[in-house]
Formats: sequence, C-alpha cells, structure tokens
Amino acid sequence: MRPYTLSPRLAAPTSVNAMIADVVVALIPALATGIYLFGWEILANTLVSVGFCLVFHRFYGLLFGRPRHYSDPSPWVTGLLLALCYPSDLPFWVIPLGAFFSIVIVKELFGGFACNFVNPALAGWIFIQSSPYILSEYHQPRPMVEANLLDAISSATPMSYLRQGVIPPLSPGEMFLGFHSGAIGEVSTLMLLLGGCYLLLRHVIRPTIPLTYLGTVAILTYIFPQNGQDAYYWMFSQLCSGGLVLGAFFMATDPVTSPVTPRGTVFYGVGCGVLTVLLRYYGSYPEGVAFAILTMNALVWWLDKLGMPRTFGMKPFTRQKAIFSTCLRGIQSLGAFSRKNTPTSMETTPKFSKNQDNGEGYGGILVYVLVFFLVVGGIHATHSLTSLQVHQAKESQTLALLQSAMPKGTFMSEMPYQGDDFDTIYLVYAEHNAIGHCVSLVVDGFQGEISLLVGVDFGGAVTGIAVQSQQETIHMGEKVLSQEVLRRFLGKSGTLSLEGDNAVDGITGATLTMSAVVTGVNRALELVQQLDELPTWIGGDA
Amino acid sequence: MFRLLKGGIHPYSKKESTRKKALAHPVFPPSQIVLPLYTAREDILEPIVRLGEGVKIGQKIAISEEGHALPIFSGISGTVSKIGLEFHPYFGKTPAVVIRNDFKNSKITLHPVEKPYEISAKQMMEELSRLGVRGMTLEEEPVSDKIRRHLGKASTLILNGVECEPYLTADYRLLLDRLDPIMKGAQLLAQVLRSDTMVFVVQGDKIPAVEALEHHPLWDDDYMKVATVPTRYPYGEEKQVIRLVTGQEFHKNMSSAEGNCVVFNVATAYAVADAILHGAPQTHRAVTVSGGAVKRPRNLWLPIGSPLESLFVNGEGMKEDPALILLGGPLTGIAQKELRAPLLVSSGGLLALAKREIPPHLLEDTPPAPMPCIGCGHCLPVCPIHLMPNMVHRHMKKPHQNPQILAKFQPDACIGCGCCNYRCPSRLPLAQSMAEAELIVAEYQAQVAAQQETPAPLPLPPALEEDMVMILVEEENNGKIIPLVPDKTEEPPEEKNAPILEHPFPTEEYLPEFDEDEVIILVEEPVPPTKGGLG
Repeated sequence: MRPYTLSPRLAAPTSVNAMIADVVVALIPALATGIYLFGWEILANTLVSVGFCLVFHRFYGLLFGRPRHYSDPSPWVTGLLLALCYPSDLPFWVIPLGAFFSIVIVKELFGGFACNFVNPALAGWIFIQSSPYILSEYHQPRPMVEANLLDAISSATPMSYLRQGVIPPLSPGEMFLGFHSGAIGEVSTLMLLLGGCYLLLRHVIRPTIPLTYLGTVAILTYIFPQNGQDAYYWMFSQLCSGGLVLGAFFMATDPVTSPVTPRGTVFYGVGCGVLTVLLRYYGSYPEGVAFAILTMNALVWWLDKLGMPRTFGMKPFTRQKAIFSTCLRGIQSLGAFSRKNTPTSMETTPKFSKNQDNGEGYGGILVYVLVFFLVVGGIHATHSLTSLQVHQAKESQTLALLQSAMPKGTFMSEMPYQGDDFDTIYLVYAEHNAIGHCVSLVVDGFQGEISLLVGVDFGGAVTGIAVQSQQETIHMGEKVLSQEVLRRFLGKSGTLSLEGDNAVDGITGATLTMSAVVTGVNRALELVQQLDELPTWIGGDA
Repeated sequence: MFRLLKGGIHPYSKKESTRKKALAHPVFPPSQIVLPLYTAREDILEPIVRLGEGVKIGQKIAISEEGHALPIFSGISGTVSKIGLEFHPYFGKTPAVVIRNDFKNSKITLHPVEKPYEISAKQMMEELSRLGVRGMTLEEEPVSDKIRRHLGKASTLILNGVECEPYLTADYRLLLDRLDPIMKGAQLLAQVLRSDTMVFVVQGDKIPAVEALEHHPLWDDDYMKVATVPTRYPYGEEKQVIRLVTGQEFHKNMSSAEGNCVVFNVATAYAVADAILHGAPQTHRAVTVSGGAVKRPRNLWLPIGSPLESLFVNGEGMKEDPALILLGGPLTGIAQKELRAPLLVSSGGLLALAKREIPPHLLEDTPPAPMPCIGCGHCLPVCPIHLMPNMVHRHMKKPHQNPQILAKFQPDACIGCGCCNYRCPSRLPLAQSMAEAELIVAEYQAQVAAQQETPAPLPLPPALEEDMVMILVEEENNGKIIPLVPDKTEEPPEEKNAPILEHPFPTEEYLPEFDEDEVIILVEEPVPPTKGGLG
C-alpha cells in the first residue's frame, strides 16, 4: 500500500530548454571556426536560417492552431545545424527551402515537438542536397586562399578524395583543425570535439552513441583500407573528414530520434557506423553519414524493443533468450505441421517465468527477417538464372571470340584436359562436324597477363588468334594485338620463332609482347599435337 | 564490501542542519496524542478504553478482535478525551482515540521476560506481538511476522541504517545516541534467527556511526561487519540493501528468505531490545524536524501519535512561511495540510520546506502541464529496478491502454522511489504513470485469473468491514447502531436428487478378484453431483 502522492518534491536542476541551450552553446566553437575560415557572411547565413526556422514554426502554429501548453525551443537547434551543414556560398533560396522542409514537413506534419521520427536538420539537408547542382561546390577556406594568392576557388573536399580511394593531400594538422574545403560546421574536428565534450560533461547526451559510432567507423576503416593505403592514416582521414564528428555528437544523439535503452543505443551507434562505412565505400554520394543516421532513426522503435533492460532480479539475457525461443517457435510454426506439435512456452521459459515477461511477440520480427532474406535470395537466384540479356551478351561474346580464332566454327565444347590452371582445350564444331581445336591460354606479356584463344585445325595449323583480355600499354597493344599482326600467324604449324626458320615477322619496339604471343601459339600447337588419339566419334560423317 | 549497483540519484543532502544535534526529549511535550484506529495495513482496531478514562504511559489503547493486527499503546499519561473521527496523515479522517496529556508521566508496571538472552523464537514472537512492535517502513509489518517468515532462513542479519533521503538524520542519531540497545536488540534477533553474520549498513556520509559501532564493547569482529554504501538514493530500500551487501537480486515477488538474509531497521532493533529487555511497548520513535522554514531543526524522541504541530513547537516555530510540509523525506514524503494529524510509526521526519528549496513546478498540487517526452532516456539509467518509465508514460498518454503491452514493462515491479521524476528534464509525472499502469495491469491479471479458474463462491463480508461501518454509523447517528451489512447468507441446500451410479463397472470381467463386500462399499459411496449427470 502506497498512498498516491506527488512525490518526489525534489528535481534535478535540468530542463528541456536548458538542454537545447546547451546544444546551442556546444555548437558555438564550430560556428566560430566557420566564421574565421569562411568570412562574416556565415554568421548572417546562420542567423537567417535560425530565423526562418522560428518563423515557419510560429506560422504553422498560428495557421493550424495547434494547442500548445509549452514552448518548443527545438527550431533553434534545427536552424543552427542546418546552417552548419551548408557550404559557404549558396543560392539565396536554399536557406528558406531547407528551413521549410525541416520544420513544416519533417516536424510539424508529424505532430510537432518530440513527435518527428527522423532528425529534421538532417532530413532538410538531404532534401537540399538531392537538388541537382546546389551543394556540390565547396569553397576553400579564406586563409588558404589568401596564402595562395588566389580568388575564392572551389576545390575537392577530403571526402571526394577518399571516395576515389586516395588519401587527401593534407597534413594531419590541417585535417584536424579544419583548413580544408567542406561544409561550414563539419570542417573543424577539434571544435566539434570540444562541443561534444561540453555536452557530455553537462549530461545532455550519453557517451554511448558517439563512442560506438566513431569506434565502429574507426575499426572498420582500419581493417579495410582501400587501394592498399596506410591503415592508420586512412582511418584518421575517414574520421576527420566529412560530417562524421558533427553527426556523431550532434545529429545521432538527438534525443527524440535515438533509442532510450542502453543496449539499444549501442546497437544504434554500431549500425550508424557500419552503414556510414558501407555508404562511403559503395554509395553514389561521397558522404554517407546523413543517410546512415536517417536509416537508423527509422529503426529506433525496433532497437528499443531489442534492447529492453534486464529488470532488477531477472537473470541476465532472460528476455533475449525468451525472444530467441519465441523465434524458434515461430519458425517451427511456419512449417507444414500444425501448431499442436510445437513446444509451448512453459518448456523453454526459465525459473521465474511467472513473474516475468517471456518475450512473447518480440521474436516474430526475426521470422520476418528470415522470410525477407529467403524471398530476396529467391528473387536474386531466379533473376540471375533467367536473365536473357545477360546470357545473350555472353553467348555473342563467346561466338565472336570463337569466330576470330576459327572462322568456320559455330560452337565449341570443353575437352577433358587436366593441365595448367589457365589452359583449356575446346573442340570446335561447324554445324555438327568437328573441325579443329581451340586452346585458351594465358601468357606473360610486357605489363601483365595476356589471355589468348588460339584456333588449330586437325592438320596442326593455326586458323586464327583471338585476344580475350590483355593489360599491355595502348601503344604496344594496338601494334601487336591488332588483327593485322595476328593474321601473320595464319596457317603456321610446328614450332614458331621470331627469327630463323618458320619465323613470324616481329614488330620493332614491341618485341616482348610479340614473343609472348609466339610462346602462346607454340604452346597451343604443342598441346594439340599431344592429343595423340582423337576420339573415335570425331569426324565420323565428314 | 558493497557491490556496484546500477541506478539511483545523488540529490543534495541537507543533513548538516541536524546531524550534530543529539536525540532530545521534547521541551514542550504534546498536549494530546491521536492514535488512529485504522492502520496502514487496512485493519480496524477496537478501542478498549472509555471516554474519560485515565491512561498511563504504556497502557494498551486498542486491540484487534480478530487478532491479526497488533495492539496500540499510549505514549503519554492522561485521560481519553475523544473517540471519533480525527485527521490521518494519509487517509483523510479516520476513527481515532484522542488522549489529553496530564504531564505526570505515570507509567504502568512493565513485565519483562525473565531470562531475555535465553528466549526462544516462539516466546519472542509472542512477546513482540503482545507489545505491538511494528516495522518502521510504510507498510508497518509486524516484526513477529517477519521473524516467522525468516526462521532458519536468515544466516545474514542486515541492520539497515542507510537513511538515504535528504534531511533525515533520525536513524543516524539513534545509532550514535542509543547504540547500546540497538546492539542488544540486534544480538537478540541474531540469536533467535540463528544468524551467522550481522552486517550494519550505513551510508558513506555516516562515518562517525561506523566508528561508534566498531568501538562498542559488544562489537565482535568475528561475526559483525559494517558495510558502507555509496551516498545515493534509494540505496536504503530493502532490496537494494540486500543487493549491495550480498550481491543477490530479488524480483518483486521474491522474499528475502530465499536469499538467506533478513533486513531490519536499526530503529526496529531498538524497539525489539526495549520490548524484550524491559517489556516496554512501542510507544516512541525518533523524528527529525527539519527544513528551511524551521527556526531550529533538531532530532526528537517523541510519543507516536503526537500532532504534527507539536513537532514544530519543539522546533521553536517557523522563521518564514513554509511552502510545503512533508511527512517523511522530500523524495517519498507526503504533503500535509492539516497539522492536527498524528505522527505515525513509519514517519522518520517532518519537513517544513521554504519556497526556495522546492522546484517551482512541484509547489502546488496541480502542477502546470509538462513538456512532452523528448525521449532523452535519462530515466532509464537512474531507475534502480531497470524499468522503462518513459515507455509506460507514453503508453498511458494514449486514449486506450493495452494491459498486455503494459505488462511487458512490468510496472508492478516499481518501488515508487521517484528517481525518474527527479531526473526527467520534461518534468513528467513518470512515477505516477507507473502507479496507474500497475493498477491497470493488476486489474487485467485478476480478470484473466478469474476466467481461467472455476468461479469460487463469493467471500462473506469480513467482520472488520462490518466494524468499520458500525463505527462510522455510530458517529453519524449519535450512537444508534443500524447494521448495514446483511446477515450471513445460508449455505446452499444439498441437492436431494443426487445421481447415484448403480453400476460403476460395466461387466464383472474387470473385477474378478473383488469380494462382494468391497463392491458394495464402492456402490454405496456418495458420488458428487456431476453436470448433466445420469439422473
């Protein structure tokens, strides 16, 4: 028996307005760096952006008469973050458009403050970014322009270097302090870290999300550097470039759109990191932070269910085990057998199941995931098996190769031959009659391997040579591997050489490539000669 | 010794104003005391004194006829001035006995146990229930019940002196000033419960109490320990204390007997020693009178039932107008408007808070509409039970609540500590939502249980309710008793045409070895009536 009370009569010295104010304060160093690097118009941009956000928020409230008992301070943060995501020079209508999309469409239409399911600033930024040409030009910082005695020029951001698998040509200090082109707020990693530490010390955000996010990105980029770059510096460049730190400390930690459960925040941070690295490596945009965070925002409801904390007195992972057993039951019930044969929940639940949640209903999602993967796999397999265009293209390519190696041939089949890994011998048919052999082989050329298809008739003479693939320089490849030169091999048999008897005319300046082709043709002739006995069914009717 | 525990908050302590003030007898004893007959365990007591009768200190005032509630005793000497409705701190007006003080302090003769240190468990339980010794928690559980539950299942005896709420120092001063009886009471309890180890638990800000314990002549390092727990709220709750001392976690429906340990408050140990060694009933308790509005905060040793205004009289009045008066600590205390209400066994303190000490949104009983839940998740890490208050609150905001979804959040495990309310930046009433959700879930579970089980016959109205009604009616109708409760319904008549199975076994082949006598006996046995029977 506890009387219904209004206790406690104490409260921690915090409030939503104070949290919002703390976020604004934490963004001031980054904004100041932006003003220092790109000029005073940045401050004007920021003020206009915040102003438009407040105006749209107010107008929506006036027009649609949403009853409010509280003040909504979130447009301040939305406007500030939007301004920090823009480049230094931008068309005048971008700022009101971004503010309109963020405030009205993403936030107010979904129910106002604390009802949006994605971060308004990020959504607005992506909306602007997806316009064709607006935000693609990033100017160099003013101090660097002055030092180089240049006009304000647009230059590639570090992200666009990293997108091509190249480490940006900047010193670590420049990367960390922000002396490179990019959006206003994201350039200076140092100032963003300062602001993030302020938020952590003020207990506005929890450290789990930034730590797991940045840690996942660091680990993945360290393990998988692109193009064999130095792993440490690749990781450092990935961490310091783009909007990663801004996103990890200010966007992903938005309380409205991040999970509340401690385990859920870990899943969320790891998911953001993995998606960011995947999008940066394989996406069509150079930057993947925004899409990664928006995707994980949409999954928050599920992460919170998955990460429900262990109630005091329950054994660890009881709920997770229960979810797993529910999944197993769901999978079993998917089968053709009736539900009567499946085990009941009482068999798998632990000792104190009577008092505890046994995870009913949470596990069903895994069944859906399984079904999803099965369906996707099935569709993919069907498509790859039945894709006519792909097969037709392959067939016509093979036929073209064959006809340049043996002009009369229409069809070839592989012969049982165990030799070098790259050597394959085909039997070539014209209509239904075998007319000769084709040998597919690989020889070492001047710069790399050359894959050849050499046609040899039953008399042991070369009928043609087709180049399947080569890595020679354009100069030499054009010279040697042209049809004109390759036609010199026609009708030759025995052992060829570049000089003396049975010689093939060489090409000056490309001796190595020519000798490689001669070696290949010799090997093909030798291989065909070694096929001492022809199968009895060959040429029966010829 | 303590183990890391998740959850809890660290509010300002404000204990400095009273922690150096020794437990004192009141300078101005209360002119009257009020003893409610309606107990916290929802029992009704029957007064055994008459109007105008003289009573002494320690005299029995009211008993429970049925015997499952403990009797109550007078803490002052004087005359019974009223038996009627009086203010109760929690329940509005309840029946109560009012005793006017004659300031003579005449006592009844006490009958202590002859050999207290050879007392058996049964004798001790009888003695404690005779003398009305109750626990100091809000539930006021009889100590004898707790001993009975833990007999032979309490190898660790934990003496709880944590007192984690701000302002309160009564238990701390009791540990310093009345340590001798506390040690003796703890020894008696350990002897009866056959405990191996005895652990005194205090908070980190009570180091003088640790020193006093360790320098006491009865201290024995072999089986006594002091555990100092972090200065956090609510580390003084019973299950949190067990977790901190032994590392065991108990779910809401588990008893501490399963973990082979038992927790008693130090004030309870004092009351046990008083009852067993001196034969004195539980009539007084230590109270802290504090708060920013009190002129001279202090710790007092007061008779139970003293009106709250007499506590402030002993605090030498107010230096400013109190904005809020709380019975209990600031985190679980209950606001009082009527200062004639009495002090209860469970009240550890009385606070008169000045306006500057309370957050403005908590000043009035109808707080302004809070901000919406922004999902910051600050209420999760502070919850000592690891619940999700924000999710429950969001669900309770919906027009229709689904009890099955609510049950997944386990609102019935909530201990009502209010840490979530304290931490919430949106100032949401999370703990109150949790209590409402608990009611919805309990109602739903009762419905499910009723559907699953066969409908049992309705229980007869308990005699206690009858008494309650009679007392109230007596008050209203000037003594005329009009019984409202109908007479006991007669038992349903037995069915006359009960079907009898004449041939329980179809053929004789199944019973070749049976004698005729046995078969006859089987046939003559009364067969319970079955639904749609043969008859």
